[in-house]
Amino acid sequence: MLRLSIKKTFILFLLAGCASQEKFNNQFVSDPIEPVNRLVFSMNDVIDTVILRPTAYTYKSVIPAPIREVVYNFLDWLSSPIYIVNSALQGNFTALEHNTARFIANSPMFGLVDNATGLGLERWPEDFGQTLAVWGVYDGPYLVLPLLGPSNLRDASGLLADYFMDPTQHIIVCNDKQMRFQATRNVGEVIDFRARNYQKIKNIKETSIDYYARIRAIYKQHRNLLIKNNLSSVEIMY
Amino acid sequence: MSQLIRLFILFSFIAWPSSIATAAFDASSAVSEFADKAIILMSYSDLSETERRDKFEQLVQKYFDLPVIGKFLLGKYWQTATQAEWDAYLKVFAKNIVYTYARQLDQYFGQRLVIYGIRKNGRFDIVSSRIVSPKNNEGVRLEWVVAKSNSTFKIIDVIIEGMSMSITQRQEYTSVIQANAGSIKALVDALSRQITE
Repeated sequence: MLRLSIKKTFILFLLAGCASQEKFNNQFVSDPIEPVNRLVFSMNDVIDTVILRPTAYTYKSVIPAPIREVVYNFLDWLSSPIYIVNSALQGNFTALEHNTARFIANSPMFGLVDNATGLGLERWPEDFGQTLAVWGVYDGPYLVLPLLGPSNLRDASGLLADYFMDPTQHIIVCNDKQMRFQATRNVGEVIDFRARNYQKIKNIKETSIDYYARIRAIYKQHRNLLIKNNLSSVEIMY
Repeated sequence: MSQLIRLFILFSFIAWPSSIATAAFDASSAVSEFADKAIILMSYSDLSETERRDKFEQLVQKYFDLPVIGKFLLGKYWQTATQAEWDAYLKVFAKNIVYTYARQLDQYFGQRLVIYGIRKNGRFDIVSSRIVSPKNNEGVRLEWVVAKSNSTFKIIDVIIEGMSMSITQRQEYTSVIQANAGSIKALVDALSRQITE
């Protein structure tokens, strides 16, 4: 038998039980195709180790921070219409006003300079996966997408909708140029994300005993946080 | 000689009884004391890695409720654990928590923790804070879940940028145990391997 003081048992009970079982269960991930997901995850990890991590490291080391900031701002500005449409679809008028004002404030410089954050209009990303969640759609089974990484059935479907919401997909100047622009943008987003999270990912990997399970748990918490619009995690979890 | 004096000051600082340090000791005092001491410890370059880890372990033992966190991370499996498994787990788990938290705090070297709020959530005290870099105003948002245990306040979870360390690790531990047919020994082995690597 385990030795337990009454107070310790009580705190543990609070942690695992009273902390609203429903809220707590919300943090667990349904992963019915775990063996397949683990396989794709391993392949993604190899690609990350061989290509992405060294590229992100070089990008971080060679490109000065202010220029990386400009790249980040521009990529975020390009996604602004998606944030605006999804805010509207969610019926979140505060987010709609916020994202529209942010888009307008950053547009004179084509999003290269983030004036909006200085005005109190910080990034507020909204995507169709979040919209579906607001509409009451459950996240469904956990999926690891080739190259794209952790997702779930709901968020993966959302990616497709976001693709069609993106105005840059519909501005056809010349098919060839369009394709090159989108490819550059996608590659830029991946490298920018990897470079900004370089140290975090390194720490996660080095302190994990099951890297796959840890990423799965973090993805779930991160999505819940975005869906609840950064409501403190404590209120979501406890 | 000067190194000895500095080590003495550092040791005294870490071992300083909380009741003397603050008359009105509450959840936010526990967090700020822990963070101040941890950040000083991380920035103290005269210590070897092993000495630093040992001192950090003392801090974690003092300010975190490790038995409670340990049981929480084991999930339903702590109820089926034998005394021997539990003892082995708790020993290696404490080392692992120290390793994980030390890695997290290492990246905030040279920064400071600003506590800007404390609130009640059920029976927990939630201390909101931000690790602020002196170079810019950007900071990392940290929330500390604190519970009262034997009239002292102990930290039971740290939420970094919205990610709960306890919930994340609990799912990871569960995954390892499930993958090994419910064996707690497999988890203990995995935790041991990680800290000796």
